Amino acid sequence: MKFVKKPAFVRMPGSGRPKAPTSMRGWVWLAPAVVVLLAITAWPIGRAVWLSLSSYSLTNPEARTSVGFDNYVEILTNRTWWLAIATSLIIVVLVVAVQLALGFAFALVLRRLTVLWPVTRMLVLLPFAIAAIVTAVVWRDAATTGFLASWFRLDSVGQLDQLAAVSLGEIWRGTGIVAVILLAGLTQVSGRLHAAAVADGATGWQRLQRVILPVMGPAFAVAIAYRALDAFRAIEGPLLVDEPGADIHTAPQVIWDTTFSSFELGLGAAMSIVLLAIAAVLGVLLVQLFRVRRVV
Amino acid sequence: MSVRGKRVAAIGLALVTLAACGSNPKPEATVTLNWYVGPDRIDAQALATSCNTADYRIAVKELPTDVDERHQTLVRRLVAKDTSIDLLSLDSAFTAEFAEAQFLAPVPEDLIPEYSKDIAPAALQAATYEDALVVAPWWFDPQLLWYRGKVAERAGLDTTKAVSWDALIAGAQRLGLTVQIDDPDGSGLSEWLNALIAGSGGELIAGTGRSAQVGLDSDAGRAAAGVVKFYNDANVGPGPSRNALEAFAAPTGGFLLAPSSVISDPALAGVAADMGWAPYPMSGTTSVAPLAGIGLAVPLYATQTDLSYKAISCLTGPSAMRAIMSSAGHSSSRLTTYDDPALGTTFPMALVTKAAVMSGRAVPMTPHWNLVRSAIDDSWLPLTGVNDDTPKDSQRIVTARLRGDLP
Repeated sequence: MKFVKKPAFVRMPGSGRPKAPTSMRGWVWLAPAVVVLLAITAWPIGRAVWLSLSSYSLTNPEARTSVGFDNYVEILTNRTWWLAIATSLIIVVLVVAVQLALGFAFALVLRRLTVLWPVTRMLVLLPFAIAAIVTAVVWRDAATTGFLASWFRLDSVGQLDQLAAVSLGEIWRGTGIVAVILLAGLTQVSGRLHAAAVADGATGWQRLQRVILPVMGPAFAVAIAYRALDAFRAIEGPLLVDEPGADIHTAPQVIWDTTFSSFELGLGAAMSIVLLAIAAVLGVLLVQLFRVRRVV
Repeated sequence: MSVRGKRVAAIGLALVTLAACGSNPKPEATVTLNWYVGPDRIDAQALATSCNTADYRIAVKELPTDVDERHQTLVRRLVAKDTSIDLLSLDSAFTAEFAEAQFLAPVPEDLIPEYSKDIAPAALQAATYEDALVVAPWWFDPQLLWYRGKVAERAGLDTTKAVSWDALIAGAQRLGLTVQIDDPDGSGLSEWLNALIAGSGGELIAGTGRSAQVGLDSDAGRAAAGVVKFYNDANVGPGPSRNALEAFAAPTGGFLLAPSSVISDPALAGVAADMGWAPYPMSGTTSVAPLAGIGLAVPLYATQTDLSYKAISCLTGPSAMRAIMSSAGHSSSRLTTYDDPALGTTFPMALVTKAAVMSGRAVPMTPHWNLVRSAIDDSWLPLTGVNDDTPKDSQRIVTARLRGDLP
């Protein structure tokens, strides 16, 4: 068989790489993806930004007025909002810290499993396959009428206790996926590197601190950023355990109440933009904090 | 004809036959009207059946029991121009908001006199927005003071007239009995406070706009907080509660604040025969009972508006009004129903109820009532936390919510 060279690529003088003809430029190939991406992200975000610049109640659309940045000023100077952000961040820190500790411990154990690994992999990921709202209901019930209530003899379970219970549920749900991500990082630690550290007389703690953890940097960065942002936006649990007069609210919950209960669409949109900005800053900070530090 | 030709002819014949089936002259189908009802005590299905005609058949659909869920469900569906709601049992507390949002079809001019005739002033006011009747008034229940057996007598209360909150609470405490407040859907606290404030000469919300005057941080508001605190400190009940009826029927149950229709509730079947009633307790010098009811409305995007109004005319007719009083214990918005001889002795609370409808207070007719209600819940619950600062704090929160701000 004789291959016929296609004329699609022409070699430019002085260049070792073929250059695509005008009709085949990269952006043409990227365009559909970009359009889809714009349609599903930039368009709603743009609409939310536009909405956030007005005072707009869903049940009183005729009274819609443009208010400029008033909604943002209102949010950024409001105590309730910052308390909600603080609550969300506290939950994120606690949930992610426990998930990392447990996930890392699981990953260390799972690395040694060989025969049972396919089954264990499924078991570890099983909680993550359960919908967040189902997890929240089960763990809330565990604290109000279930095993947590009977084990710890809980008499009166308030909103804070229930919030702790659904946060435990979030930990339970996310630990498996963290373990799998960290396990992927753990496999990056080559046996050669490990053997060299042992030969150099490094203790177990030193090997963990100086060899394993630095190599696992990218895996930690992914796990922390992913779980932190997921916990930050979590709405199911807090909404489930909310009750009239409750003192503790997370930021997504305040947005939900404002938008879908009070139907204050302008204020709700502004809050969601602020939350998005905070999440973006959080994401950048986390990636910077845990960025890869090459040791080999 | 070739084989292919025969096939084509056969297919053509089949299509013609099918088309003929589809166009067979049939009697005009009866239209189904979907009637969405809230958590009342009426046998809506029986009432719907009694109003069915050859033109339409009413199908009863239920709305969520919880007031928040009901509100959200309705707003979402009506904003989305849902055409599947033909008839709506609309809470009087939502009427102003839905009218302002233009969710409701205008009531035909020729039906307005029929729907407004002999309606109790408070019920008519709750069905009117910006001087126009926007729903057909249906029932409007005042809350009464219910008691079991001779407990009122033992507590030293004269039930021939309204007793004071202080006397009621002190009497119940002395007997070791509870004072339950019925709140099946979560709107009980705001209705209670609204009536307490009105009873002390104040007004919870004055005006309809976003800058309406809030009357919580006032003498009447503080008097209302005083009653709530006294009730709470006496430990005679949990305040407005979804389990009030069960608690009232329990051995320690003594008193109950609940609408007239509570008499027909299955939860009280065991004690109903032994229940007495009296006017709503006084927070000031007069008895001002919380009033709440239902108006029948047709959504703007309903497709069979004429038939929907025909159905409403039947549901608000003398026979249906009598039925909702005699079998469900709801208080008809139409005062003449009280005098209907056919009602007989089936509504024995008539005397007290009718007076309460005339002197009671419904929640303010503001399009922003739902914001006020949730802000009150957020600032007064749990009731154990109510103190001298509550009216002031609540005033700030309610005012902020009304303005569309974060509290």
